[in-house]
Amino acid sequence: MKKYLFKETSILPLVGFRIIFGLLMVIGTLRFLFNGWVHQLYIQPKFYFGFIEGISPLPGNWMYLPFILLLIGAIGIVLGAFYRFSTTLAFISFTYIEVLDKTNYLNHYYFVSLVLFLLCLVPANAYLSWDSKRNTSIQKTVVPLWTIRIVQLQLAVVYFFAGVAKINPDWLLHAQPLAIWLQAYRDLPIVGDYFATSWLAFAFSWFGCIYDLTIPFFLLGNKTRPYAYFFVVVFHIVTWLLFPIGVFPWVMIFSTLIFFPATFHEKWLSKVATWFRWEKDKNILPSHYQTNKIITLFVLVYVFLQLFLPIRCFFNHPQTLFWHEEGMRFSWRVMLMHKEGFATFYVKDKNSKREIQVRNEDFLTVGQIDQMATQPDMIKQYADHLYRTFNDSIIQTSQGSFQLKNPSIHAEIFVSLNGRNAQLFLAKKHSLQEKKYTTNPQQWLAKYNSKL
Amino acid sequence: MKYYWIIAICILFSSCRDKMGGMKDDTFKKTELLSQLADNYILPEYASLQSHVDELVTSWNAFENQPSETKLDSIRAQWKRAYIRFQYVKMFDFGPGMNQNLAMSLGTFPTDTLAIETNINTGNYNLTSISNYDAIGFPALDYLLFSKNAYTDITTTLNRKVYVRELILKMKAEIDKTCTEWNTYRSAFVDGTSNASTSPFSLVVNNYIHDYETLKWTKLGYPLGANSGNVKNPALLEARKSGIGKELLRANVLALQQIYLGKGSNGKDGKSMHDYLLALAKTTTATTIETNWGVFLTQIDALPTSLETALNTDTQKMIDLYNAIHFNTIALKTDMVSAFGILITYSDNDGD
Repeated sequence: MKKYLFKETSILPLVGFRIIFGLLMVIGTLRFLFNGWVHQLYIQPKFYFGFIEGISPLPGNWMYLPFILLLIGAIGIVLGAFYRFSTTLAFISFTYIEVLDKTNYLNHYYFVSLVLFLLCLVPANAYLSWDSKRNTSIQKTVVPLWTIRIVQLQLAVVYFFAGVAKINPDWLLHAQPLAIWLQAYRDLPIVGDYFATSWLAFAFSWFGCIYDLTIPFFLLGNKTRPYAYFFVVVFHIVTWLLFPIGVFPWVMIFSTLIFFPATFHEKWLSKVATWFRWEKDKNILPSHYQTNKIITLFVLVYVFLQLFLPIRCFFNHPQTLFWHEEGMRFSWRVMLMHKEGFATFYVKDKNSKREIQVRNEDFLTVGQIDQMATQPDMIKQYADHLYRTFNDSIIQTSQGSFQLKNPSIHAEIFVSLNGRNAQLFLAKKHSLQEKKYTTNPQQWLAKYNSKL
Repeated sequence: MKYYWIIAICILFSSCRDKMGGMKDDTFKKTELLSQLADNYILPEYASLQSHVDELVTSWNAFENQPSETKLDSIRAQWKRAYIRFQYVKMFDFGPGMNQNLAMSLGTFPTDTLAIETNINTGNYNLTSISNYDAIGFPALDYLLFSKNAYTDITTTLNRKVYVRELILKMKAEIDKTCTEWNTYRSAFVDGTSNASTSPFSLVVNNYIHDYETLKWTKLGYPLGANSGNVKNPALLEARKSGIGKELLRANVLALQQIYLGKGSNGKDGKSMHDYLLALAKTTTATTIETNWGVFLTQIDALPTSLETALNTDTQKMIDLYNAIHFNTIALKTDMVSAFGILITYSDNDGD
């Protein structure tokens, strides 16, 4: 095992990956900036559903700063310039942005964070880079195998567990939520009628599931790789056309090139080398990699975590996972649910018996309301926020004012999941500010009836 | 052996299909819904609002030439007709309507009487500024035309007369522009069938739901004190001076019902959200919504003529109506919108 991890292998796939991934980061960041999303998602909201208590957005336009730093880091990655600094900068700024608000959580963002973290650790600047042009002594033609395998494993984990997650009755037996999303294309010329049919949704669902489960293995095999890559391209272009998932189909299409051997990367990298007048040092020393216990341990722990996190939900009422969502994030459960909720919050004053119905728009953005209404941890966060806002506050009315002392926060929520009619998600009777949020599915949620 | 698998999977699929989509109609097209809405509802309704506002302008001009109480009454009558017509189009707060910000500029209430008086006294104001949204439009005219001494005030204070004139002309200008723009916007509109949040179909549905929730809060919830410990506040009622709040409420509900059912304002009915739900075999949701519109109208008809009286003496009836509208949101917002597969934000989404 140890020997395997430190086997020498060409650096080229890693260098190719560095350049491609860096470019995608540059494009993704610019797209985010130009779409006005920084303002919309990180400046405009009055409240944020943070992942970590104490980490909150910078005030006002300062929120552009992490995006600028991310952009600088990403450019550094492409060029392989000040590599440790650039990768660390990109990783920290990106991850900081992502932990600010659960509303914006996407599995693909989590993927980007992980890859940036891995890039911090591997010597992807030892060839065809600004750093190695300036300081030829750092040039290497080979790297230990783990540096490439760990990125491949990361991609394989994304696909494989996305496939595992699709093995559920809604996806396989009801073609949901794809049936809902595909029928929306019923107006397309010629093919529109097919999009409205159930059988196309079934075909997509089953193909998607089998694709996700098997593609990592086909990408690993030398003979199957070209065919597998053809499917990768087709699959992701189709998802790009049909669903609003931004740059991520392209991230996957280009990232999976790391499965290709050095001979493949040599062709295009040699062109890049000529453009940038980068020359290989003639006296490049052959590297020999010693096995290293700390690295071995790190790789094992990382792999274990990546295998454990996606399956953690199986220890925790997996049959109602989509309902309680405990174990849903960081598990590559992509495109699995169409969940819509209607949440009404109430602030009750015990002394005066008065009740205030909250208009969510007064506190949250439309996107936040949409995400919060179906996710228990966000519901609890919002309830706590309402408690802090209303406790000791004075309410002005047309007949004088009254003060709220230690009010209780209630919510009545109805949720529709994967095409089912809405059912009670949270009953009004619970005082949410008294409830504890735990990693077990919350007892205060209403029971789920899966009948369609 | 391979073939057995294929047959098995086919049987599995077909059994699911029967259960799920026995009554599905895969040939339903959203563009038919949008054409119906544009040609037989939106365009005629905007035209109707336009002609009512034109008549309002005419009656105002007649009044300005030679003021009389009778002529003021005719302005009031025209204002009322136009205001009610406005309830039929205010939910199209996108495209041309959004360009003029029609919903806000014509319909923001409660109107800020203090701001209106300040504007009139100083004679120094910019009616297009955001801070003046609650000092213009139909609600501002409710105050200016129906105050106790409206006739004397308007005829003796030049600034006041100018202000009323400017409000009316501003409304006319905005409606004229909206109508003109809709004629060109129409073709893009009827083809905008995707479920992206910026496509016309999504805009229609999202704005429709938004109008429904706005109706619930502003016309009923706020006056009932739903967000202030149930302390009633008649000052928040719509059109309090003229007392036509009930008619406006009824018109708003009627409009939403008409749109939902695809009833044309020119008598031509066609494809609707209701039909789309039926095509998706969401029969329960469709009939729930259809029935509830009728329920609301009956509840509104049972209220006293003035909403202020209703608020003071028949509070429970008003609360019941508010609750009925509130709970119908589940069918409308949660069930219907999710069945259509509409997205509400335009950022990236991986559906988790």
